[in-house]
Amino acid sequence: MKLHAWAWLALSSLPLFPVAGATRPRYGGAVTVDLSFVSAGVVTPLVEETLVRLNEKGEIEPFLATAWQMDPDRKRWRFSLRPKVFFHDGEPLNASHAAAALLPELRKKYGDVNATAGGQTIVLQFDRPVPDLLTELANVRMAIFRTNEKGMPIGTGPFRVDTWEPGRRIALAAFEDYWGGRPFLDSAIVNLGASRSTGDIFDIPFSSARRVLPEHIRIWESPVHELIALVGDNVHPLAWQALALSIDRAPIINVLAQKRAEAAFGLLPEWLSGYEFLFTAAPDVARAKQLISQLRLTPMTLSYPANDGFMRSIAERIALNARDAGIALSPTPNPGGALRMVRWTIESTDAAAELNRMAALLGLPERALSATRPQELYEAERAMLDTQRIVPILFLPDVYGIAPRIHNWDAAQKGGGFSLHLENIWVDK
Amino acid sequence: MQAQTMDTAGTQLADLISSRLQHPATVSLEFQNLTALPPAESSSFRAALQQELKRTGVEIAGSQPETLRVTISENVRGLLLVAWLSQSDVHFGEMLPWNRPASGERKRLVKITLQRMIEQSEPVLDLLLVDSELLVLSPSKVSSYRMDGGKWAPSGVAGVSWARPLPRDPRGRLEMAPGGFRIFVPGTSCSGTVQPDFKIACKPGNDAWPLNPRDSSSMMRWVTDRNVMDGAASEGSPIENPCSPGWLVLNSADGGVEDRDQIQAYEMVDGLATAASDPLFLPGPVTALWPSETPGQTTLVVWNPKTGNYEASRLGVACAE
Repeated sequence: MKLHAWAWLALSSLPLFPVAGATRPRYGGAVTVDLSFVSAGVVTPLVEETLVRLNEKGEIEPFLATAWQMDPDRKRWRFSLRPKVFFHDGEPLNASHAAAALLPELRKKYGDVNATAGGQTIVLQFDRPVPDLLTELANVRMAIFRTNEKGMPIGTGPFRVDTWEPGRRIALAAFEDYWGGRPFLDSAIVNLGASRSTGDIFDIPFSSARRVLPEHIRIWESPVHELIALVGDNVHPLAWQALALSIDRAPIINVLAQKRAEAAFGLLPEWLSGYEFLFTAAPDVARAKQLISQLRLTPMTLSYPANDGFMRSIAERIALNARDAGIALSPTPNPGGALRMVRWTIESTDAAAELNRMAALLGLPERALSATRPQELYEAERAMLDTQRIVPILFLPDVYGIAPRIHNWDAAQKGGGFSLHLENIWVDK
Repeated sequence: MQAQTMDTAGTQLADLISSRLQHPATVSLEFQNLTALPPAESSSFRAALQQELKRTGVEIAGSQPETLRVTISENVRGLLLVAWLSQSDVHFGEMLPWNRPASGERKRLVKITLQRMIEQSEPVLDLLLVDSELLVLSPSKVSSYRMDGGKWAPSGVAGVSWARPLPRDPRGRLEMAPGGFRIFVPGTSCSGTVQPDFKIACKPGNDAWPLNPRDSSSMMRWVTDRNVMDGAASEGSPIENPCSPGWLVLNSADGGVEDRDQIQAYEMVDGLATAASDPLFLPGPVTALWPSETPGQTTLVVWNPKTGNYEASRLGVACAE
């Protein structure tokens, strides 16, 4: 039987078909992103790209480089650049651009490094083994971009910077010749330091004041990736143990964080390590009192970041818990306390790299770790906690309000990293 | 990393635990599952582990001074088996990543039949059966598969270089041609052969795409300056009605759940499009729905957000009982 053209057209074009409801994406339209607390760094990867990137499983995958080789010593690395990649001003990407962008950043971390650039191939030569180079190159600090005469970045990403008012506003426009395919959106306006929640996408900071949200807004949370912890130096070991035992995380999570946070007992969250549950410990005020019963403790100060109401609330709560155990803590916004509250952001899905970054923040030596060996990671993390210099308190997600006209949000955010993936979302007309 | 069956994972973990114990050893076993692994599978793993522990000389008994806690956990890389043994003052842990094999096909509905062809992480734009070869069009290549033991097994790959970057929502079409096949993607047309050599030659072009292999008059065209497809006709695909003379259209629509589509068959009754089947709910959005070269079949590609894979299937329509 032959399907006549008229029959096909009649069937496929009838308005009675529910084609309008299908989730096939649409091109065009603009969105507004209001960021009050989250930094502009979450949109940087929309403009600038790296040689490689970490996927959502924490594995390195090709990005601007399509292939790489290294010698057995991991001192000499050769990268082949993706062909037919263009900067936003139309200039084709080549190895000289990559070398110019990478060398200053690589030298900050690795000291002496030389680059040989030819066509689409760049060879990096180090004077010592660099086994973690790929993880380092996946960091947004290693993005390949140029700047124009006004200092605006010219990258290769799915969006180009249209206008840029530092600290206030970034206007992004779809890059028609993007190697990965033009974004669905035509443009995006990113308002920085916004105090309103009227954009299509806006961050919802953790704060003591509750915000009234517009109707029909969907709340979306990223995986938890910010650690709030208590850090101290030269605290008596028994006092430290007692303080750690006295902290009751449940009210902090349920009341202060409005149930959007997770209790932290390890440095890496469970989704990243898979073993964080092994560190779980219930508060034990009686044991805390017993530990310090023979000590003569002087009052200690607990510093929290000035102008951070959420951290102040947590510090006050910890001081209450500590008082119940017989430890006097005075929260203060002034720096220099014996104890301090810190916010450390987990920047990637590479557990080994994140653990080493935290070790550096604590002034501890870096270890040779692999994200594929969880046992090794656990032992390193256990050792860091045993230094009695840090008590993890809770993990926070980024929380955003998403307008109903935004489609494909959840799937788009699986694009890796913790940036806002606007390149795969689309909007109703 | 190679996939480990449940038995393999049980054996590996049992060996790790056993190597840390002094033999003969008797421990009590506590077991917990912190993941979305179904309880039945979790219980099966526990049984497999107990059996393997026994094989290595570790007895399981209640109320022992030595307690073995086994947890099925999960991290960003996949499942993680954590064994923790407490012996008076000594504690040790063993961790084993468990790379489970992919789960099998999901259930099919009665009226619309679905036959899974292949699944891959790269988008599938179209499928074409050429003699005994299945060709799969992806954004960067065409892969060929041959049936081997009831499954499509890879038999060849031909890379392709398009005249311009593909759009973010890539579409493409494979069509039979004398002596081989043709490929249509936005801004590029290619010709290829499977025998004697699997090879493809492409040139820039904006040829009209054939929509239906059995109707040469149904064509559509790519709007290159906007990088988008003209029209929404590809959300429906005509298919022969096996139960009465005429045609049906398989139509994709929002499945009522965020980013999940459904497929439903429609027929024309008194000039109105009327549902002819129950909807077939899909695990994600439809990314391609094309009439196929085989009468009575339609090619369907769905992106599954849970696995991140594109699932390419052939849909058919069977008479309801």
